Amino acid sequence: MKIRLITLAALLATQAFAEETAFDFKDPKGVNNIVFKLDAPLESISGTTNGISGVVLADPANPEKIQGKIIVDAKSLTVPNPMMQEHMLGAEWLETAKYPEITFEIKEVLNSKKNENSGTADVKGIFTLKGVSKEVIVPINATYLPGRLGDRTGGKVQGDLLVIRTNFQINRGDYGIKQGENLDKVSDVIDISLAVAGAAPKK
Amino acid sequence: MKFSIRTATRLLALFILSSCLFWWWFSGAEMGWTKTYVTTPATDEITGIVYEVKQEKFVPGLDFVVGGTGLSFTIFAASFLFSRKPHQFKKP
Repeated sequence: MKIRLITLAALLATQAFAEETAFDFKDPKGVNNIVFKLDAPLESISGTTNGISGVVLADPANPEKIQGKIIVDAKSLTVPNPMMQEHMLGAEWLETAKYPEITFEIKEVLNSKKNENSGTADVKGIFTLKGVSKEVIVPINATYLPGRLGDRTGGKVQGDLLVIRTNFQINRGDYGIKQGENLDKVSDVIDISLAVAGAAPKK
Repeated sequence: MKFSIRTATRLLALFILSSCLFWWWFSGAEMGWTKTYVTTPATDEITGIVYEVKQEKFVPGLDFVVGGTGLSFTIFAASFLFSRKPHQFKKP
């Protein structure tokens, strides 16, 4: 009886995820990127990162069914000034030695609108920065590119691509990053722009 | 042409100040912090993702100018420690 139940559950689980494809967001080409901007009255800071990874399970035919996690290596965040970078990654600010990852875990997809191979949606998820997790809703723009992985790999690997773009804001104070301090030089509001492509090789 | 140590020190201060200002000005007069890399935008043909290509380059910022000016003023101030008269070498 127990074995039958386990088999049934396994079959149901297989059915439930039958149409979902795993898109890997680790990009060896270094194209996937996040740009962050802080515009304070005395100083404007702009930086980037390519240290992005994570897997998203998505069903292109059904955008509501999406789950997964995008992970950013906190130590990969860069700004053009080396001293500023050292401070940013150091114990006073991001404390990357203790909190090496910044993550966004998808929980729910709201208001999805599909138009052929692209669409928009509001994604509710858990954003974790410096060990503090908060629920956020980010507007995303997704484009599904079936069979285009081969063009990107010079034909070596065939498969599909999923491109996700989003722009959203967070407040550093909400994540315990010097709340209310240095506001004239380091803005509390951080503008984040993410543009990533996930690859799903065909087996 | 003989210079006193005081004059030589002041010329050094002027050289540092002018070098800093010229370097800063001709590197694009960056109004922010000094940068050790610059970025140029590129677009991935397949995905359309716009990304930044990094290129190592030293771009002096206002902190560089302030540092250079501070150093030159310190050297200028130190010049007052030396005598006005040119240094006389004793003949053997």
